[in-house]
Amino acid sequence: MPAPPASSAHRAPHLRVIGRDESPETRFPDFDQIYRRYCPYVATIALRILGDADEADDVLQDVFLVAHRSLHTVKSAEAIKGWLSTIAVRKSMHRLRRLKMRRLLSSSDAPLVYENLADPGATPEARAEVARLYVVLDGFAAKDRVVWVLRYLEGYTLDEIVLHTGLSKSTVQRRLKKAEEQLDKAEGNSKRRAGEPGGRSSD
Amino acid sequence: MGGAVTKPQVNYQVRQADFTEQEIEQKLAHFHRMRKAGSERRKTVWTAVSAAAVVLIVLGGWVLSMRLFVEDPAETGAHLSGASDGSERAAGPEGVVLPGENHQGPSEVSFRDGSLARLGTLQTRLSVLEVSARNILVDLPVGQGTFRVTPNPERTFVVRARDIVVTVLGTEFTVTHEEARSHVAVTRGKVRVDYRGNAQFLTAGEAAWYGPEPAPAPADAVTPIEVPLPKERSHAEVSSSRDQFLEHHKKAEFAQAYAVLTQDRSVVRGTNDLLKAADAARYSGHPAEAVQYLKQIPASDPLGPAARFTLGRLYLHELGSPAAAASAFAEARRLAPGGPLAEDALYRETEARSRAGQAAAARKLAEQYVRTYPESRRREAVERFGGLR
Repeated sequence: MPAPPASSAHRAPHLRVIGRDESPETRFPDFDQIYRRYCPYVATIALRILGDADEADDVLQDVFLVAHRSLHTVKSAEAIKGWLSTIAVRKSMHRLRRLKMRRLLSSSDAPLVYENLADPGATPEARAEVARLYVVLDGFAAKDRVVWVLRYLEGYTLDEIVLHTGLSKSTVQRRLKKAEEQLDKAEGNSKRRAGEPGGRSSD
Repeated sequence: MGGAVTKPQVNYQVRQADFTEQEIEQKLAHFHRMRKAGSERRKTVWTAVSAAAVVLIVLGGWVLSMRLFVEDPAETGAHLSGASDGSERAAGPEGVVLPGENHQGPSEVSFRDGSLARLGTLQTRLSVLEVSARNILVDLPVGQGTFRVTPNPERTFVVRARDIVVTVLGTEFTVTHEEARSHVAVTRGKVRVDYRGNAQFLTAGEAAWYGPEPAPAPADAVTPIEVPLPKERSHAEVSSSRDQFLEHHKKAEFAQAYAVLTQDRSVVRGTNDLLKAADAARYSGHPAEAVQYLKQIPASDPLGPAARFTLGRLYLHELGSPAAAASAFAEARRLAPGGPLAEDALYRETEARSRAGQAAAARKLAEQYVRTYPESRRREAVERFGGLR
């Protein structure tokens, strides 16, 4: 059986060597290419966690500043997306805590218009549903909110949430359960109020 | 594996961040501009959040060490003389602060009307002298206290702090004692400070020192924070302080940078240092002082627009002064109409005018924004701020 080619990449996987045999898919892209490719992906994670386009924009900038500084630590092109996800989730989680603290200390912040978070093609009912969801999420602890968003809006597996948040699996499960219970309770309240004039406002 | 968990049946139609290729190119160009032009500052700002945890641990360790190794000085007991008997009387029933209570930092004291006193350091002492329907009177003889007072025109809230008496109706401010001097910084609202027979009003964003060394007259106290080079200090000493300040700032250790800064304001030289000093003040919980540093950066300086923009964000998000924020954003736009911050400044000025209740101005700005940036993803938000929707 012939021996596999002894490329430097096999001997030292931390070295990024762009060889002639690398396809465009596996070649390590430069920073600008990474930005163009993953900018919407990172922004979506931040937007869905934070529910605020401005704050998400700040996180986007933040994530790519880290990426620019630490890109050399990424071992392969395939790892970039996951790596950016982890940075985005943790930055968003951190910013969420700051936001909650700021809103707690300041009564001057105008309420956010959460209907904007709905898909552009969504029906008015679906937009109101999204707005109601984020009003409820505002009442969650930051970590509860993050694991819920990652699980239910981003569709991450538990293991992926563990990886991106740095929480233990049991903690993720516990927080997820707590968030689900809170949401179920809020939805129950909302349904009970449905039909009542002047019931729960979507903003 | 997580794959074993069934995917939940949730069908919220939350949108994705959807950018056109042109928008991505604009964002990328903006990213590189910000990174190259003063990127160091922005990076430290953004890493400050992660550094905050480290700072908290350091402060916690410091507080612990103070508790272990520093005996309460005798003078502390004397400072507590405002209490009925000088003893550490236990707090009253939950949520009820009683006259005669003594509190020690770091802690929070909540009053029945919702007002809050945050005591900063272990040395901080607060004595509650009176709690009634018409008056709340507390004594802060030592340390640092931040007061968030619930507005109530029927009741006055008075903080006695050594030689000064701060009277408020509804506001947020911080009193800090440093050696023989006292510092009052107003975050929101307005306070009256009585000092040696003179009364002075401080409003949001203003701060003043009171005390013998140096001895500014209260009337002159509300001035930009000066950065004199003390004659008695050697050049080596000043350089050492400055090195420490710059090093702490570089590592995003803003609490430590601020501590050096308050010891020796001569570490600040030039506009770059003013921005660093503003960072140190802002991220160590002294936004009102950050304002003073930012205001000293001349409009003609290349950093002038960025300083005004940062000032606007401070006023808007940390000091609760949307009208002042709007002016700062307007100035940032005026100084660099085609600059990288112009779009952001116009957007935020619209928001600030809206929050300040300046509906007509907000509408005008929103119309200008829509004309100038018709494809912006912020258009919808701007239209809401301007009442166009």
